[in-house]
Amino acid sequence: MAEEQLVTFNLGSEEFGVDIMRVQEIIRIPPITRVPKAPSYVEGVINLRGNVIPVVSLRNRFGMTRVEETDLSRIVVLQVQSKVFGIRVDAVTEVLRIDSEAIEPPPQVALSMDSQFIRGVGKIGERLLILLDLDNIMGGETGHELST
Amino acid sequence: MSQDDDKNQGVDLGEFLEFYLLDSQEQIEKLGAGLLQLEKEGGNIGLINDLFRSAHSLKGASGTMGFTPIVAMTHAAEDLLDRLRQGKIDVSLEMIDILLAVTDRVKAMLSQVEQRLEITLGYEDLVSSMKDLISGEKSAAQTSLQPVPGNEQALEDDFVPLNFSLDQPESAKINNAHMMGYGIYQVDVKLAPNTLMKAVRAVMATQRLEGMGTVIKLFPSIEDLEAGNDEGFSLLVLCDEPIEEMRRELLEISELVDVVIHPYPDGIGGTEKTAHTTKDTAEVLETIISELETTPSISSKAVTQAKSLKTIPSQKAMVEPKGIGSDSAVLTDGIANGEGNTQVHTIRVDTVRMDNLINLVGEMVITRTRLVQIGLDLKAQYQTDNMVNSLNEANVYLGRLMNDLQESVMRLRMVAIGTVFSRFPRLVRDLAKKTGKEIELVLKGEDTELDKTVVEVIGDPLMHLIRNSVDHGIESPEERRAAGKPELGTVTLDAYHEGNHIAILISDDGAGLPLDKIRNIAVSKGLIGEREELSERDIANLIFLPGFSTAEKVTDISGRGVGMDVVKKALNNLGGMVDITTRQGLGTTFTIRLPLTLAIIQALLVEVGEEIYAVPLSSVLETLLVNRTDIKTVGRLPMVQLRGNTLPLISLQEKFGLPAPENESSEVFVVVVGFGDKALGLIVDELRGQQEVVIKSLGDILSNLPGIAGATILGDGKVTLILDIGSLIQDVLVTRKS
Repeated sequence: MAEEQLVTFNLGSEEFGVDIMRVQEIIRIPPITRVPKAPSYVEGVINLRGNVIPVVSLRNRFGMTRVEETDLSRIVVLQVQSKVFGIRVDAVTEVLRIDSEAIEPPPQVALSMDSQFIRGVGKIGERLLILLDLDNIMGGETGHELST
Repeated sequence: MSQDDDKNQGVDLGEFLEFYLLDSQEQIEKLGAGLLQLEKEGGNIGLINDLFRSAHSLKGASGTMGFTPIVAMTHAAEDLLDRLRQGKIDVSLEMIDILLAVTDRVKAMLSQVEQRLEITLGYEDLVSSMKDLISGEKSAAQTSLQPVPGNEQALEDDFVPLNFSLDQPESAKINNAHMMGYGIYQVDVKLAPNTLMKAVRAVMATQRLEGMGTVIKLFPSIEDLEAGNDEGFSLLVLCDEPIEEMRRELLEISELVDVVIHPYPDGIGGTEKTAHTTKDTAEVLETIISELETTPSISSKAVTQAKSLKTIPSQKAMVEPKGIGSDSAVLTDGIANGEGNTQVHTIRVDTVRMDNLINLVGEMVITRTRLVQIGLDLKAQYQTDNMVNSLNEANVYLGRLMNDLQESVMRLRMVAIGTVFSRFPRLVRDLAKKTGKEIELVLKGEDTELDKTVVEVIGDPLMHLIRNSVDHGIESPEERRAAGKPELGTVTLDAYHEGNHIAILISDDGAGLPLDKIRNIAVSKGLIGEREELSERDIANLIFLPGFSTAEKVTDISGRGVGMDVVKKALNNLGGMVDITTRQGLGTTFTIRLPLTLAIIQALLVEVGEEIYAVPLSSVLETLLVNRTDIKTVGRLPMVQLRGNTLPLISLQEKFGLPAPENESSEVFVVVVGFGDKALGLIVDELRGQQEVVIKSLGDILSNLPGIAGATILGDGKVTLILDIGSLIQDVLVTRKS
């Protein structure tokens, strides 16, 4: 039976999941340098061991209000194809396995957020996990390279 | 999962594809350069062999990868080159054009492959033109450039190749040998009348020849010889030794009265013949030696042996009155190259790995800066402590090591500028043809090394300057004759190191810039005042102003909307500059100066609000402390008077959307930056001093932001953005106009 392993995290009251294979590491929030004139969802850039990588604010991507940094705030560093970037989340919760059949396509109406960033919704008992579509998170342009 | 499929596909193809592309691009470059040389020097066996080999290995590799269109073209090219080296056709302009077109087409196809696209370009047209050339052979009227040495050898008309009735593996061997350029010979042996035990003679002959090569077939067979009354026998031999050698060897066997050796033609029963000369053998040896050298498993001893063999044909060639010069040149060339190959040890390293290494060294430099700072702080606190002193001593030593390390690592990225230069001979040739001018491009200083980052971006500006020299610099042959100059114009491309910079000179021996005309145009376009006093150099440099073009007709060469201003801008973007000197009737020289690396720059750190930005020091003209009351707003733009000139200002705080400070100080710092001949003042809150910074890319997503050129990491580990002065100035100028 096909299974997916996910890293889950919180954003406000919602719970999200990303494919663990895409997660490079999870770090505390380092100083973030704001980049003037950058797209609004780019919070800034950070120094990740000598590499400068952009950080996306998921709250911005999903139209949620900004919150102050807490002890639980993290940056999940992802690698999507050749690009490395971070997403800022309120808290990382756990790593879990989910049966592929328990994942449903994103519902058209029910979600208040932009569905182009959502790959599907996973059900684990009573919990609902929103699975991120990582190809579109970063500008929506990252998906073209290898598709030919 | 679809993503995984993508990944797999990428890895599958990718790994080999990369090697294939690297190798093929190299072969194509070689082919292109070789063809130009062929055009210049005419048929030269060593060169033709090189070309043939390039085409051959390109064909082989493309076949493995399954790129049929490339295989089809290179196969035909290989055939053509094969005819050429056999002397069946002559080098013609038409042939060079077609073959160059082939290299272009293959290059285009490779770039499709590189982008992981299907090859959509056609190849049939070129293949059929090549076939026409082949079938035309010598009878067709061709513009012969120069006779191929060896093609005038008298053919012996009485030789008819024997049909050895080869089986499948045997003919495969022969075909292979033909392809690899080995010698294949039919050896006809005549026995003395009444020879007993003819079969024994045949076996002895076979043994002797096996010592020098491979005997593929004996005719008639041993059994038939034993039984029959034949007066001799024939052998089909693959051999790399000179014919004379084989002959001598065989004649040592008693009762062999005569030995006649003919090269055995391609395709059994064909009537084509190749004249056998020492040159053929030399050619075969060339091929073998180079093959030995490229095959790592074969010991260098074999190569040396092969090389010593080579002296035999070369000595023989000396006896022949014809073509001594060119032949011996080929041979020494081959040997020199061979030795060069064995001495230079290089490895290919993925640039990503190298960049990683450089990254790490950059980090270490930063960490060292922190250590030094800590050392100084400690010293301030515990003046006389011995441990603090040792720490500082160690820091100094570490600093020296770091400098060495950094320098060594940066040298890894150094690439000879020849890699950029190599594409220009073709460009000049094509342009010269199109404009009906006769132009020679002379390359100098190709070994001059500079950073990979510069090499990658210098190509286009150079190309525009060369185009300009060809189009505007060199006169038509008639004009040159009238001026008492040789009809052949010369464009020289030279490069050398000059301190921390590289200088690249593009000079032509053309008419020089028409200074009066330039001045008039500049006046009529309002670029300068009518009475403005300008030196010759100033006038010459006017052509770099935007919107300036003196060409009366817009040609397809330099009038493509890309003016000299664009060239200048591109070079300025690289932290370089360009200058012109011109002498009437004698020519024009463009001098480009570029930093050796674009990876590390000196920067001035400035503070704006709570943010820090790095300004490339190369564009900083000066810094000023300006009283706010001196800033006047003209139109929408703040200005300040500086030594009689108005200097436009921008506030980085407004520009970058920072909150306005609560209490404004009465004085502000202004960093005056220049880009080309434009200057601009940046209003900042504080100056933080200058520092060497390692430039880092912001990645694809953030690469094209206005005003930001890149990022760097400071000693405290924070990311700081580097300003793009060019785009800031551009921005202000546009705002001012609108």
